[in-house]
Amino acid sequence: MNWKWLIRRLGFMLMVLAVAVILNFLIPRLMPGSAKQAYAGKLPEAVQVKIIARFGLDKSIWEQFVLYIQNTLKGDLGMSFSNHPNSVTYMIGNALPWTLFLLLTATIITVPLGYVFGVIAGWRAGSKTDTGIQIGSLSLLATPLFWIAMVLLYVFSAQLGWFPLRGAETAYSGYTGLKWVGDVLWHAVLPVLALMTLFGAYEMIMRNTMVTTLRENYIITAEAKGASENRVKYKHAARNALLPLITSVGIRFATIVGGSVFVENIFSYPGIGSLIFDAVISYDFPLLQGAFLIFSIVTVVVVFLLDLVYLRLDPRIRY
Amino acid sequence: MKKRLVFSFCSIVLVLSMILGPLACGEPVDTTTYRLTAAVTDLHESSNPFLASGRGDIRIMSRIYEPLVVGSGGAAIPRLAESWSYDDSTMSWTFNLVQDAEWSDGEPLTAADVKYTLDTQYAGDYSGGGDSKEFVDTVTVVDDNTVKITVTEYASAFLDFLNSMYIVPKHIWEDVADIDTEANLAPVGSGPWLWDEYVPQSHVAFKKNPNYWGGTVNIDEMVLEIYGSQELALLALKTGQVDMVPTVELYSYIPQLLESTDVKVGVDRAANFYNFLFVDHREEPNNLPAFRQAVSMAINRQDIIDFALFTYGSIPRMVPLVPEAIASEDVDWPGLGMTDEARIDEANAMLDADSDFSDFVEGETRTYKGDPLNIEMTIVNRPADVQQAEIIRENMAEIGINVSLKLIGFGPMMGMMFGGGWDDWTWSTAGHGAGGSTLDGLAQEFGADPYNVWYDAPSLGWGEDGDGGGTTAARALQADLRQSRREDDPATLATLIEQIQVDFAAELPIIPLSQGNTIYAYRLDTFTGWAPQEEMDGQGSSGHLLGTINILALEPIAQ
Repeated sequence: MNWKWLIRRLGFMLMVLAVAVILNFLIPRLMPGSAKQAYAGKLPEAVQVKIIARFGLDKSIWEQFVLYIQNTLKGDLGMSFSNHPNSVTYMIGNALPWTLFLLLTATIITVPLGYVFGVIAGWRAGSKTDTGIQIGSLSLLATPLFWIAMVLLYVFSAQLGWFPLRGAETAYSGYTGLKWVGDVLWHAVLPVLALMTLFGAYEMIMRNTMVTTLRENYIITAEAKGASENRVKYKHAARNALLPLITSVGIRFATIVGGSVFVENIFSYPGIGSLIFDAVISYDFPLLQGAFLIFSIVTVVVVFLLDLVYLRLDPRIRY
Repeated sequence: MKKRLVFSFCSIVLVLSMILGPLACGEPVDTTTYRLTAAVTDLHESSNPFLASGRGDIRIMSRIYEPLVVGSGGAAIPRLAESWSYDDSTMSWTFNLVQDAEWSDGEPLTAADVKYTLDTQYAGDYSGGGDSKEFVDTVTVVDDNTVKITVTEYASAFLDFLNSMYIVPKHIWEDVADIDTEANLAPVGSGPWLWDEYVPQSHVAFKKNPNYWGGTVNIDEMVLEIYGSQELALLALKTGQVDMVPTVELYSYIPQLLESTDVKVGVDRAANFYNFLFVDHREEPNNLPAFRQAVSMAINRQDIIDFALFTYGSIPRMVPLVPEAIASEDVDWPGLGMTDEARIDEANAMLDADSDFSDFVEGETRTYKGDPLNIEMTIVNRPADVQQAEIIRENMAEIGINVSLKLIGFGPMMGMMFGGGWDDWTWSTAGHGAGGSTLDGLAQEFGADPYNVWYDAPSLGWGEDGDGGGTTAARALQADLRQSRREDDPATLATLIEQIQVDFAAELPIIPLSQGNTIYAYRLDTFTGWAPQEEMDGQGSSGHLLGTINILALEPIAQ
């Protein structure tokens, strides 16, 4: 890896973030109604005046945009309208760890699972095992994520009572150490399972690439040399078939981020997704902008990290 | 090998979470600690009592701070003020504070705190005390336990307004540099609960105030858990994960709750709230009484009660803001008792009679002065509100009006309606008027002033000049009403009330939809001594279960 590539890559990331910042500003303002209207009667007049001045809500859209960029560059994401006088940074600071925990746990579990099942299905393409796995994957892909989340909640929380109905941890439990870890994991099981529906996509990508790879001459060569089945499967075929899966993880991370809005709401999980939902309902522009910005940064950083993984996995690629 | 290790690790984490979790959480935190858990769906937004405005905020502030009086069963009952009186000759209210009340930091609560609170609320134009600031001239400390409030005009609802005036400690707040940016994350209050922990979007936890002046709290802790929906909150109650749901808004779930012998569903049919359809009178044809009457005629109120309120409600009187005790029985809904078909035909005929409206054609949207009648109806995203709105949308389609729904939160809805922020056709079913019983109580004590409610909704734009002040005739009628009350002239008062009802029926400045009952639910296997009583402070947020009267009565059942 050379420095020129790294600088170019970072420059590209900054450009993507710049576009995201602009969209973050525009999208909430495309909603019907306005924050100024929504809060006109809710806060005391003196406070309204301060907020309107601070965020320039009485200024033209261009002036508002300049103010927004200036404040964002200073790291000032503003004050939440609906959680006044709490700052957006405070609200996001509380929510972000939970969302990252959900997203990363789901991804870390789903990708290896997709990989393993994809390899098995691809290796035995056309067999009953392959058909079974394909039916499972397709079913997961075809079912809306929020529906799966609701079914999980209904069956395992409401009916069986195995898991809690809400939250990221038992409220006001006072748990510490391992007990707290166990409690958090217990609360995360269903939301993570709901987010794991992307398993189907990963498995199918891996399976299809595997089928193509298995027709390559070097696989026949490896078999002719007497390499063991597992060595051919994992060392020669799966490793070469892995690259499209890694690309897909980057692309689909944005999907899973969007999915977290539904999942967090269904499980009353106190993450960024829940914040976004409440902010939309409350016309809380600063909070929406802040939450979108954080999601954009997280997605861009994850894609960048996957670039590095790609580099590590494919010896042909040299930047 | 490495891949196997990664896969094994992930699998172990997943399996461990399924095993460790239940093991870790299967036992209570502390068997000697009694905790009351309530499921709420309103988010907490601000802990600053001057800025608290949403239902979630008021519900939490009401646990820590207290007003001088609270409303219950239509009458004011003592809280920080043990007694009060009004002197007509000096136009002043005198409040005698409870003896020995103190703040949670041990400082005494005095009349200086009351004066500081009222002066700061009014000077800062904060929302505490509602419209009381329109009437208050001066607040004077008579002695440590007595405060006098001189008013510019007698107002029948003055004590009602004070329900939301949370008295705060002067010695804490006078040192706050900027009240508007004070988060107040360690509140010092006088109520039965001490603020202990707040986790945004998750819960607010309280410890009991061991020195509460009003009596002994028998519960050690109270946790208000925030649920994403009423369905989940009620499910949590049914499965024993919480002890109470203070406000039940998902009526369709009530039969399931009733199946459980451990759950008690309370229905207070006297503590009503009204659902209204508010129309922006600044927009045509909303400003036409005939149009409003046609809309009203088309609405199937019985469907709203049957399918949105699941029978926990009733047809509202045509002038619901007139106290029951003095209401006329003669004025009733036009169209009540008619068949659906006849009612819709009548509503269509009312619109067809005006040449500005196009004639009704099945399946098509009518036009008014050439523009199609596409109306956006803004509603709060609560189940019953949405269900009512859907019924209204169907009814409107039957008279050629195309209604689309826009869902927003309760706070923005109130801001939009009462902040004058309407700039297009915006209808609302969110308006919860004062309960009939409250007005009954006020009527008995102070006389009625039903016109106040529709005069004090400036955003409606109702009136000749669109300024929300009503018509000249209505203003004159209100002046006469106040005069008759001052002169204690019941005969004139009754005549005027009759006139108001006739006038309201002709104008329909707002369209009453239904009268809903207040419903709450709690478990019987964790606490005993439940004494639900209507206790309104703030925006009526205490309801029946979280109020101090019930809290002091509760005794934990040893498990």
